[in-house]
Amino acid sequence: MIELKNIHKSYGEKKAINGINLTFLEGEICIVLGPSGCGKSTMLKLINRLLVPDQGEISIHGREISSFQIDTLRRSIGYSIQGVGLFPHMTVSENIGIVPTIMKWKKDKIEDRVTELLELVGLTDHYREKYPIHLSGGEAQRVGVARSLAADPEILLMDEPFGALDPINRRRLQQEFLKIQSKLHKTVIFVTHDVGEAVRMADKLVLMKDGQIVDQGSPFSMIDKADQIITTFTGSNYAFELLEKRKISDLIHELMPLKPTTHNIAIHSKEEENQTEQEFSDEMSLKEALVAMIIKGSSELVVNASEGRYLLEFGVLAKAIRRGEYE
Amino acid sequence: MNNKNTNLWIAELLMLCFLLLMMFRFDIFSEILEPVIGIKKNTVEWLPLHELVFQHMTIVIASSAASFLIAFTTGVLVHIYHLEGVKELLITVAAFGTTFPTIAVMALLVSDLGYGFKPVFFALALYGLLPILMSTIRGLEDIDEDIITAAKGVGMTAYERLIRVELPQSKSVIIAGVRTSVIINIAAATVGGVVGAGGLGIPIVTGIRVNDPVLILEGALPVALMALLADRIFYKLEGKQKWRIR
Repeated sequence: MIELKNIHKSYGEKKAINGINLTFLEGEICIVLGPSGCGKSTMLKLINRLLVPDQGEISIHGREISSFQIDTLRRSIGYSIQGVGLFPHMTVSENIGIVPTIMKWKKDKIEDRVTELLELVGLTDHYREKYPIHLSGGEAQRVGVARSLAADPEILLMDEPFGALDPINRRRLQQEFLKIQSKLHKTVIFVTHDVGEAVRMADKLVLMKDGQIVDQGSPFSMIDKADQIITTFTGSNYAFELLEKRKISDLIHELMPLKPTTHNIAIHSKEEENQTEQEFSDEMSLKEALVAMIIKGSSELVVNASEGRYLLEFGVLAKAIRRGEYE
Repeated sequence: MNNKNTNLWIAELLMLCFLLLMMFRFDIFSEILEPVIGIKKNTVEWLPLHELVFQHMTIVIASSAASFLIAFTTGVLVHIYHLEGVKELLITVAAFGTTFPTIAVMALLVSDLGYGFKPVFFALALYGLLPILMSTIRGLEDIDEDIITAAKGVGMTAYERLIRVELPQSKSVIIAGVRTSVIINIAAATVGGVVGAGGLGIPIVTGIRVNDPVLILEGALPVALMALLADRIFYKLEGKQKWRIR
């Protein structure tokens, strides 16, 4: 558990952080969302003591961070930064193994760890000897994430780690990161200004503006306040992004069951198959479902779930987010 | 990779052979050059040419090593302890010092240290400082801020940061400084001929005194060749770093 108590930090005249109180819970991805210059990166740097607060207290598991030895503290916190920050003169495996190396692990143990991490972030072994300059943006970000995980830190600080990526790669890495997180259960503090990214990944969302916290809570609980605020500072529509956080299968009890199709699909002629309505998987997000409705020009979708076939009506979809609020 | 490297060292090897040939059989060269410079007028007896080359090299290597040790250590210390004021002061003083003529410094040193190896050694070591000091300080200064933040962020101590990140990053800049320093010293070491330190200055100085171009060339050609060779060797050491090549 990380606690920030009444934190103030300014650069000269400019107040970067103005009285922040925050608690980050173990095993949770907390996304800090705010426009650039709102103090969110500063907040991360205060936690691993790259910066020192002017006022206030930060503690990890109830222990004030200034009481830790600084290098020990930083080694126990994974840190991955915007623009990657890989060491250009080190190979991928040296980069990933840097924290274990300075912690004086045995050589073969480091090698094993690197192999494990490369696999975890979805890179093959032949990346080992490459230099950062030979990597694509997506590959470099994966290496960055792998490096921050190397010494198995409890806490991960991520400063727009996927910021430099194109939307497709970014989304892929987000999904893979969520998959990794579901295995590792780290305490993650993730800073971004991308609303979609924030909503997709957050267990808890913290909304920041001008060095202060505007609101915090589960992404669903923030819909009233957040939509107004976030839409003004990013232009993205918060509520629409929220639809992606729910799958059709979450609504399965609201859906109208349909009669099962005949079992002998195989003997359907081609024309008949085309006439049968297109069916959608219940693994689809509500955002995709809404888009599918718009494309079809229909207010209903046929959903094929493992329990059977259902009909998803627009009315059910429209109420889904508000229902999430009370979970 | 090995193949490529040996290929690339061929020029240096050729130059070295050329230098050795010159050291032991300068008569071949003087014969070839006879139509241009005339025949050798004087048969002054002194150490054979290869001995003079070794003397010259000893002076250069000793003084450059001293320059490097002092300048590099100072540069690194100033960097580690963030002594910004000292940094600028050092560079100013070193730059100012270099504007003094070598020969004047040497004359001053001779009055204190007497004739021989010592005054040349100290004068050259002093002159070699500036390029190395500058390149060490600037090289360590000019590292990308993000890389330093990352190094701090992963929990490196100041010492680890220096060894693992800052020195590898600034290596080529520092070597470039050493290269300049050594080449200056190879040329400047000829003044050793005046103060009795030996070296290739002897045939040059004598040649001027007795107006014999062949004698002058006997000193000057090996010096030029040594400077070129040193330049090539340091150029190689600076290296084409794999991590910089796309």
